[in-house]
Amino acid sequence: MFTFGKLRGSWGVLGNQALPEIYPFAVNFGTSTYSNPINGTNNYINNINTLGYALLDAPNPNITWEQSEQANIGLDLTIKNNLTLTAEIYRRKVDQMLLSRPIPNYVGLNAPFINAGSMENRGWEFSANYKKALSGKVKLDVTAMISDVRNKVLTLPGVPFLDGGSIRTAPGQALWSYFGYQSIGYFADSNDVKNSPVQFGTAWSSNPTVGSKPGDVKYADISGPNGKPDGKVDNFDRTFIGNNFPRYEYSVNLNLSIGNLDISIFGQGVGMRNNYYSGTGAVPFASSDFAASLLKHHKDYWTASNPNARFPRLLPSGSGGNNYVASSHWIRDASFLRLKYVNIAYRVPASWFKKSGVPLSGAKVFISGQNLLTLTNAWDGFDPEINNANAEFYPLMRTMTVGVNINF
Amino acid sequence: MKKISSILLFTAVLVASGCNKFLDRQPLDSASSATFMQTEAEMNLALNGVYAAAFWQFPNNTPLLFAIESTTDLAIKRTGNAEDQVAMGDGGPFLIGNSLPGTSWNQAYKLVTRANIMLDGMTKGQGNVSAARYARLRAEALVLRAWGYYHIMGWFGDPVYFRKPLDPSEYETIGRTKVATVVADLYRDLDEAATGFDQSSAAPVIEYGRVNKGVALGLKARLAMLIKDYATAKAATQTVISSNAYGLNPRYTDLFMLAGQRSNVNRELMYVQTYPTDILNPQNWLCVLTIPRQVGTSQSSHFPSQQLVDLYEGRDGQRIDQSTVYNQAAPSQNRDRRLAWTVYMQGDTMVHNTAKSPSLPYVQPKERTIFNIYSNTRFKFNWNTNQFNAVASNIDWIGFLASPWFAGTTGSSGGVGYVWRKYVDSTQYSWETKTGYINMRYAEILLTYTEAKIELGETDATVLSAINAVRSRAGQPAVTGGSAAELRNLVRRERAVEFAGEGLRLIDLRRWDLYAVANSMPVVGVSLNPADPAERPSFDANGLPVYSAASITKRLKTRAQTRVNTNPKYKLWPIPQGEIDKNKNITQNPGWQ
Repeated sequence: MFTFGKLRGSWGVLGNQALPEIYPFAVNFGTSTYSNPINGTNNYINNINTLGYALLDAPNPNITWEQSEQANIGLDLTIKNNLTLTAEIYRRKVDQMLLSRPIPNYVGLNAPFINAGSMENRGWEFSANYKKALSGKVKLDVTAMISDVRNKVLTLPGVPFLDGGSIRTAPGQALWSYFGYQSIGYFADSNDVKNSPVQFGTAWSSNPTVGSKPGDVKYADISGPNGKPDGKVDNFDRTFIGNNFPRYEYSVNLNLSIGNLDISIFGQGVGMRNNYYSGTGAVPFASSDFAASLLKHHKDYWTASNPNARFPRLLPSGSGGNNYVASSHWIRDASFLRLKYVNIAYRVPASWFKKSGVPLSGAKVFISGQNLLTLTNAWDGFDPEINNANAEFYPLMRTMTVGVNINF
Repeated sequence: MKKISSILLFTAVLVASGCNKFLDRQPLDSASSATFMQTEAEMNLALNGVYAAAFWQFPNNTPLLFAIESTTDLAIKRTGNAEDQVAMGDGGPFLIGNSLPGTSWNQAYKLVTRANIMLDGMTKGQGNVSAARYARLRAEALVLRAWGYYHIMGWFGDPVYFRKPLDPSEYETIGRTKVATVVADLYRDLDEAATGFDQSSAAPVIEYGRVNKGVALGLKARLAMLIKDYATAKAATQTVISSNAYGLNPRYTDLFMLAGQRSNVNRELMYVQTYPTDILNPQNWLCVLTIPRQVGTSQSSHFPSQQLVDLYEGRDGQRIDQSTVYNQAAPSQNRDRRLAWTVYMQGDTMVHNTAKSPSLPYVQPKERTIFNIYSNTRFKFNWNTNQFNAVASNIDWIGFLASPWFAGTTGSSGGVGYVWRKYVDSTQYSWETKTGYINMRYAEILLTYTEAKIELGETDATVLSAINAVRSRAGQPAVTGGSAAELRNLVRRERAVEFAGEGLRLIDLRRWDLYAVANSMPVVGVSLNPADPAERPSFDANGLPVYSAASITKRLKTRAQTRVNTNPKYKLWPIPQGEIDKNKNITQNPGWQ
């Protein structure tokens, strides 16, 4: 039954030194331009702009390569010459991660790159290929793959986290995870506002422009200065709310040939993924570089009769800012299945040319399409494969091609 | 097998050499820290980089020391800005995270670090440079480093102190050092610098913008005054005075205009923060930030205070509570001329340059305007008819609720009826002004000498001649004597009125232990009704003006602010929180924990 079998495993350590600075161990004197109020390196004695040099970056004489330790175990099996199975589990651990680490300002230099901490990627892959001539005229070749990987920062010596605003790197979390408030729906009515933890220091007010109102995003009070919920929603209530590493990536590639007809289909997808929506995509009437408007999906906004709307109450862009602070409300499902490629081709048989007397040696007629179908929960027009979407992107193109390939 | 082992051996050699420093090659196409500063040209480049770090600005092209002046009793910044928050103390949200201490800290330490790196790195090339040249390069770097530490100590107290480039292992472990220890080191540095300038036969003012021997000694005197070491301050200033290398410019107003600075008559200007005229940025926006809004395009956001205005004597040499020529109904009349040279008051004719091209009849492009806050009328000079026209609508009218004194065009309160004149230079387009900001001038040497001698109880003829030299330039009568307490108050007042807006006041008040007293008061201004003027202030034992309740009710007080700096913690600024978060050996200043 098994015509081939192999159990394999490997282990190795690789170095990586991909840094913007080529000589981080002996940082160089350089120039920088004045940018009010940050000093440059030129002086202006006698009112003349005169070139100066200064050491700008903190050196790190002990910097060394990032080490990536990889181990994997795989199994390859072929059954009856038709079915090939490949399975693999792996772990890639990165030690001495190269990171720019903040230093005190009295040092007077930009932060150095250091070897800080470690992270790991654990994953598995499985693929199967089935190849068979079902009859003299029908040949089938199908490949299916599925894989998964989980990223986790293991240690960050010396610092509790690396702060990137609405993203944050901390031990136990994926690299640059989303960090923000936990949203728990919308405020249903004014009593809901009055009875909920005070949001961002502003209690219920009858003034229509002050404080939270029905239809605004409601955030959970999960902590406080003492680590316990304190009846207030403020900075202490931010937490890790997801990351955009894709999970369960899969694909299917099918090639079928029936006589002179060739059909190939390729589809791929992601089983689980977060994506953070912002900007024009999330905020009605927002505008960065074009006239402000409302996208179609923005019409599904909160009203008393539409309490489970996709968007909070409709406000002019720039007001209702608390609705757009980094929160789980804007983290949406970006899983998808996409039919990436379909190609159907007919090869005109050589015998036909001979018979008909057409002076050609061969011809192929084909029709193909790309991105024909996407099944996803992402909003209309949004490409789930784009991270941190703000709707200010060129939409994904659906392409159809019809062609004839002629050989003389 | 033999073959395999030799391959293994070869591989082992390759792997082993990977750990060798042989691979840590220095770059050949740029200035590596290991090889830079071998030549005089490279040392000059490095020194330019140190000067660049001594170029201290706050946002909106504001010289940093001018911004800091707005945290003192002499000046005001628009409400809600960092300077205003600091000035308010307990009366406002002066938090540890305020950007003014943070920016000051960063800029001063960048200067210290660059000077340290230069002083350390230039030793590599000592043999390649003449001894005289080397001495001067080193002297300049020593003075600039001391300039950084002087301000850090004046602002924050005991500094994080280091004299060599920090090793990465020290970044987060170094602690604070006592001011007295640091000052003792800096005395030696500045003495060495003074000698170095002599060795290199440097001119008293080497170049416009460069430090020199007088600055080394003047800075030594400042450090000495900071720790009340009056004998050292006296000796240092005496050396500068007796060198006869510097003097007073007979025209006070020339000190604050670019052309006057470049001619620097009598070399009064010793050290100036200079700006490039061959490129657009950076600029000194003291015109933009001070010209009142009744004049063309302007952004007035920094203002003189009532306290400052009232510190100027009458022209009879008497404080305004004792002056016989002072008239509260016409407070700009018969005053120490420096008042008019420093502050524009009601009725003063102002000349500004806020446009690049003419827009007649009023913009030539110079604009002449009679400063008016008491009616909804602007008085603009008509360049076609050579007469002043009354032009309707005056945003600075104090009866106009949207005036800068009330809400302002930006929605925040402005000053109290006065605007700065010092540093207004109508020979330059105000939005591209390149006037230098004065860091040290000879008048300070004279007044520091006077003060040190008075504190030492040595009130002799040299004391009177030093202070009278400064007073007589402004046309003020000579001081002929007085009790020690009277003379102390006199010299302190003289420093306030001579140097208003020049960045000395904060550290002066702190070393006199008067910051809490001087900067705890309601923010009040001009009389609301010029026909029924507020009574003149009385003066306390420290010579600071005090306003009665009756006087306050008659004054502009639209900011509704009361500065409260009585908490002892305001004797120093808080160290930026991020520094303490990163280094557990740095303790926060008292009261700020």
